Amino acid sequence: MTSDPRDQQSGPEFEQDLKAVRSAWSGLEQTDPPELLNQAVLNTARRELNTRRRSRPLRWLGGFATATVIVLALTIVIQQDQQQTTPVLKKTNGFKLDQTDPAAPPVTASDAAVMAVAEEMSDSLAESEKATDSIPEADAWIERLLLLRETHQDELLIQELTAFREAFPGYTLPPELQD
Amino acid sequence: MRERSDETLMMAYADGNMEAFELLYSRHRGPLYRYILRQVSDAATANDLFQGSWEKIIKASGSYKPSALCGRQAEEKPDGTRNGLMR
Repeated sequence: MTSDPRDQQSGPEFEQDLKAVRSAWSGLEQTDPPELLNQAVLNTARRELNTRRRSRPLRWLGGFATATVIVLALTIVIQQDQQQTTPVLKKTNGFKLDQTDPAAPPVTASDAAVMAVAEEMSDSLAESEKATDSIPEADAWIERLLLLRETHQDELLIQELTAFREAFPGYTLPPELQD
Repeated sequence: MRERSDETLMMAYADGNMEAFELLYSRHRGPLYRYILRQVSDAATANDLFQGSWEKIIKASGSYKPSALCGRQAEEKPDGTRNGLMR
């Protein structure tokens, strides 16, 4: 059978022991790190914060660079979209409109007017190019006709001359070939 | 006024709030120190371990994410058992 120790140690002596045990226990529970250790830890924390504040501008610069790249990319995409909305012209023979391009946007009334003007311009350009190209061709032909005349190949000369007049009706023949 | 959680204090410290760290430190310094002291039974070693632990916490605070359980949240597991390092 157990007995209560307070039965044997009653009175002020027991109370003193109890107080001593309580103070020892509370002293053990209240064991805290030394003040110097606290200061060391807090100083380390402050130093770390200062170090981070010094390196923070670089982080800001990284964000700014990312934003700039995004804005540039968007600008390029928008410009490309705007270029795609204008009619697609391909220089084939002069300026010919490529209306068969599947990527080309639908043509509006104003676009059709622009296309008509462009086609007229391309036709006239092609004609002028053709006329310019034909002058050396006619000169060479005339030289060949003169050679036929000098070599007295009269039948061939008549055939060639008829063909030349059909090809170049407005061309003024040299006096040697006019008779 | 509602008590700020450890996670909130760590995030505040990571954002540059020194007072948040002081509060976090005052909340956990005693329990952590006593835990270490009980494990090693030597004050000098306990001091070294204590300081090293806090230095690691300070260094890692920059990349801290409040996904892991710590402190009071870690004490109560879903099955009702207790867990955690800070007590």
